[in-house]
This record gives sequence, structure tokens and C-alpha cells, in this order.
Amino acid sequence: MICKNCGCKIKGEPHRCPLCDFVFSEESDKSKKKKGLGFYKNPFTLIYILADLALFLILYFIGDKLDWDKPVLIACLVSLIPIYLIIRHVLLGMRNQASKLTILSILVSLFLVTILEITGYTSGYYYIYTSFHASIFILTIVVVFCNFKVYYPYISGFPVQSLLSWIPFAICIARGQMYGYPLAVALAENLFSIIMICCFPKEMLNQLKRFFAV
Amino acid sequence: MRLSKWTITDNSGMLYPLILTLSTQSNFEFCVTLQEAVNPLYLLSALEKTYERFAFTKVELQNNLFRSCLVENNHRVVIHQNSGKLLGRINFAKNNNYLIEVSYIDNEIHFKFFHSIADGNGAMVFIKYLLIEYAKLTGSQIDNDNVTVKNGENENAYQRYLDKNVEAKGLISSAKSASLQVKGKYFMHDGLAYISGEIDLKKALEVSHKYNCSLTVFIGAVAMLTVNELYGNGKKSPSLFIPVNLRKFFPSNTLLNFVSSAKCILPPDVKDLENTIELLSSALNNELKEENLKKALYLASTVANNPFTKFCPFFLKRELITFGRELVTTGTQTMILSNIGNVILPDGMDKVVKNINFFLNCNRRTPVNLSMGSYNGILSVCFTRHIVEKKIEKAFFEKMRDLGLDFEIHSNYREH
Ligand SMILES: [Zn+2]
Repeated sequence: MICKNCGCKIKGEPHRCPLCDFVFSEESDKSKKKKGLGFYKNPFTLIYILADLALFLILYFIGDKLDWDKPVLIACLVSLIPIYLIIRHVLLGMRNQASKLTILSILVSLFLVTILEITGYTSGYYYIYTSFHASIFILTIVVVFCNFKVYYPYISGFPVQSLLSWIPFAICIARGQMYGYPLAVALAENLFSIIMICCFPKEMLNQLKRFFAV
Repeated sequence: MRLSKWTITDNSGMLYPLILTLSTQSNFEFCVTLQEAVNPLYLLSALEKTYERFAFTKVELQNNLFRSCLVENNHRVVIHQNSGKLLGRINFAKNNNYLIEVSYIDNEIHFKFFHSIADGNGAMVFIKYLLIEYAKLTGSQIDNDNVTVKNGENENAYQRYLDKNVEAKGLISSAKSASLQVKGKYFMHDGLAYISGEIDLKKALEVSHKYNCSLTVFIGAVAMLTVNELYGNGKKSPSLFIPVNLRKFFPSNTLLNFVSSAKCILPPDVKDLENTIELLSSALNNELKEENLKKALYLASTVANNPFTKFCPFFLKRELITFGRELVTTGTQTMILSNIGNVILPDGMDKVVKNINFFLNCNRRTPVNLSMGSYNGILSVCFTRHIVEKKIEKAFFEKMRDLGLDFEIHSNYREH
């Protein structure tokens, strides 16, 4: 057949023109469904949340009994691995110098902070846990505001994860201690999730559905 | 043919596992359209026979500490239902570690090749054999004599023809100069879009002969002209990357990788078609001179022969190469044009096979690529893309129509 709009010859009887998108018939979308794009499932956020929880629980339960110097160092280094993986995954293909510099500076500052903490810490495990959160948080902001439409599939679990950030704060309260840092992180993450949901309600809800379908 | 346990991948083949990153695999895809719906049972048994015949393709990839190797694969051979995703990643686990993914849907058979195992030429031999076996199972009388076993089907031809005295000066710098880039919004998920046009081969040859050039140069020139009109700024030069089948210049029966590439750089201010064709023709001829081919062959082998790549642990090498690639933000070519030429199947096969299409992979640096090939008197020109915009395709086929070549268009309608 021949497209009335752009005049090109088209093979078969499709519902719209492949070149100019002129629609021939409304019933359509059969061809699209038959050769669907394949549902994309992203396990990374799930892995992240599990790793996050595991890290926190380990630190919480054995935290007080240990001589902190070595475990803290090991935990810090181990926590860098998921961060590195997530960063690679999220920023894959975002090949501009700014994004690379951001990532590098996050990693370096996180590392420096943890080193500082090892030498003069008061409460190591909260610090690691919250700085882990904070770095992911900063990263997410950068990524999202650079190019939301492209990267939202990779941060689908962020609202869920941000709810989890109330846990350390609740534990602090229960223990009768008060740390400003977990509270700040939890507040900021939740605020940001709300902003994201308000700005892109359709996409975020879609992603949440997908996330729970994993 | 017996395989030793560690079959070392040929020189350029060993590059591909290295650049196998989270987002890209170096794959290419063939789609064979049959006259009737595919019979999965016949397809599976034809595939098994083909693996038996080409034993060196019945392998899996294993990474040891220093390099990646191909090892004999004894898992069950599998075929899949096609997901409709063009050139997505091969899921090696689901594919029982085979490096060739064969899938079917309706009357189409899709072959996805991991580039380590073969180039387009070798892949075509594999596919031809499989199609003939399939046709035999459906009851057709086909002569299979033209696909007999030859010597050196899995030789490392790079090594055989490597000339160590080649003057390597200036190789790297010329290969790295920045080119005009096609820009657009990337697709969110895995897989590519294609828009392909089909036309009578004779008609296309007539027009290209009118311009006194080969079909490859003609199609390449129109594509380059289109890209330059749409994306050119008068400063960066458009460049076309054409894979060259080295078997034509250095005789070899190898079915493994034995390709080099000709990079044809045009001036930023090309205007009309005659001019573009002339420039592209001379650039290609220059690249195809024996001395330049030898240089390209040398370059392809240096990576394998370099002591660093020999003794550096594999995971480190992969990280280094991946990181290096990510740091390079400007691409070295505007577009890749690959021509598999005229595919000839034995008499009687036209009753079984309707059409053969060839798809080239894209990445973020060359987001739109072009492949061409012909079968049974029909020329297919196929754009694959990794971006949403399809300006190039639209303008290209419009231009072709103005030149008297009215292509019949089809697409997979991938939009985001
Ligand atoms: Zn149209």
C-alpha cells in the first residue's frame, strides 16, 4: 500500500506509516502486541534494598559487641561495592564528564568520611548506614534531574526504600538516643519521593507496580 | 573435527568479550522469512545438525584469569520463541551458554550471533547450511554439495597473514579523529528499532551504474549526504565505517572473524550526490589498497599480541577497557554500513525461503547504522537505530524516491 501522507510504498497492511506515523486505521495495535518489547524487570533496586537492610541488621545486632576498627573498615569497603554497581547501572551510558565527576566525588567523599569516622568515631554503624543512604540519595537527585525520562526505570524502588529510612530513626528513638543525621536523611528522602511522585505521577506509579511485580 | 579443550579465540574475536559490558553485547542478527510458518521441531533438529557440522561453533565462552576462551559446549541445543526484541542481549544462561541464539515466530527465524564466534560471512555459511537441512526435513529435494567441509574453517587468519614489518606509525591517530555524530533521545530499554526498504536489485544496480559506482558506495553516499544535511554543522566531517571482508584479499576458508574496516572520511562541506559518490569512492579505494589492509590487519592483531593484554588479569582488562570506552565521549565514526552482498542459496530453496534480512547492532556512539544485502533479486536496505528520532530514515527514503528508487518500507514500530 501507499501512504497518503508521505507517499512512501509500505509492505503489507500495517495500521500506520513507519516513516511519517500517519495512522491508517484505528483498531490497530495488534502488530505491536504480537511483537511486544518484552517486559522489563529491574532487580537492582530490590538487591539494593536487601543489601541495605542486611547491612543495617548486621551492624545493629553485633555492633555493640565488636571491636570496631576492623569491622567498620570492612563494612565501609563492602558497602562501596553495591554503590559502585548501582552507579554503573544507573549511569550507564550517561557519558558526560559532569556525571562522572559527580560519581567520583561521591565515592571519594564517602570514603574519606568513613576513614575519618574510623579514627574518631562515636557511633560507627549509624554513620555508615546513613552515609550509604545519603550518597545514594545525592546520586539519585543528580540522575533524576539530569534526565528523568530515561532513568526512572532504574530508581523505581526509591519511594519504597525511602520509607525504610525511617527504621534507623525509630531505632534511635527506641534506644533513647537522638541522632540528627538519620532524621535528616529520612526526611530528605521522603520529601524527594513525594516531589518525584507529584512531578511524574504516571511514570512513578507504573514503576512502583513493576517493582512489586518482580 | 575434534576440539582441544581450550580453543583460543582469534585475535579480533577476543576483543568482544572484553567490551561485553552491562549495556552492550557485540551481536548481529539475521532474520530469515520462510514461505510457510516455521516448524520448531524441524528447526531444532536442523540446528543440531548444523552444530555437528560446524563443531567449532558448538562452544561456550569461559573467562579464565588472563583471557577469554571458547570451550566445547555439551549442553542441550535450544531454540526459543522470538520476543520481538531486535538485537537485545543474548541471555547466555537461557541459551544453555550457546553463543548463537536461534528463535522463531510465525514464518520468521531469527539468528543472533555473538561476534566472538563469527563475522557476517561465517554466519551466512552457518545459516545457509541450517536452511538447507531445514528444507530437507520439510521434504524438498535440495543439493547440499556447495557446503562441503573445507580445510582451515576455524583457522586464525589474522595470525597467518600478519606482517610484523608494517609501518604502524599514524595508525592510532587516524583511527581516533572525531567525526560528525548523530544525536537523539536513546531508547529506555534493551533492543533496537529498524526501518527497512526493499527494492528490485536490478533497478538499484541500474541507478548506481548511472553514477558509475558500486551499490555499497551509492547507498553509503546517499546516507552520508542525508546525515550531513540533518546533523552537519560544517565543521565535523561525516565518516562512514565499512567492514571489509578480508577473505577477498587474503584467501582463507576461515569462518571465524576475518574482517577489517575501511573508515571513509568525507569533508564537512559535501553538497551534491555526484561529489559525495566521487569522494567516498576514492576514500574506499584508498582504504582497500594492500598496504592499508595490512596495516588494518596489524592493528587488529596488536591487541592480542601486546604483552600487557596477554598477562593482565581478565577482569582488570575488562574494567580498564570499559572505563576507557566510557571516558571517550566523541565517536570515531558517524555510521557503519555493512553489506553482506548477494546471498545465493541452491536451486529450489526459493520455495522455502522468502527473504533474508541482516541487522547491524548500534551503540550510543553510533546510534544509527545501515546494513544491506540481497536475496533472490531483492535488495534490502535496513536502518537499525538506538534513538527515538527517525529523521535520517525518512529523509533517506525520500531521497531514494527522488532518484527513482521507490523502496517498499517495513518496520518493527519500536518508538521508545
Ligand atoms: Zn507516511
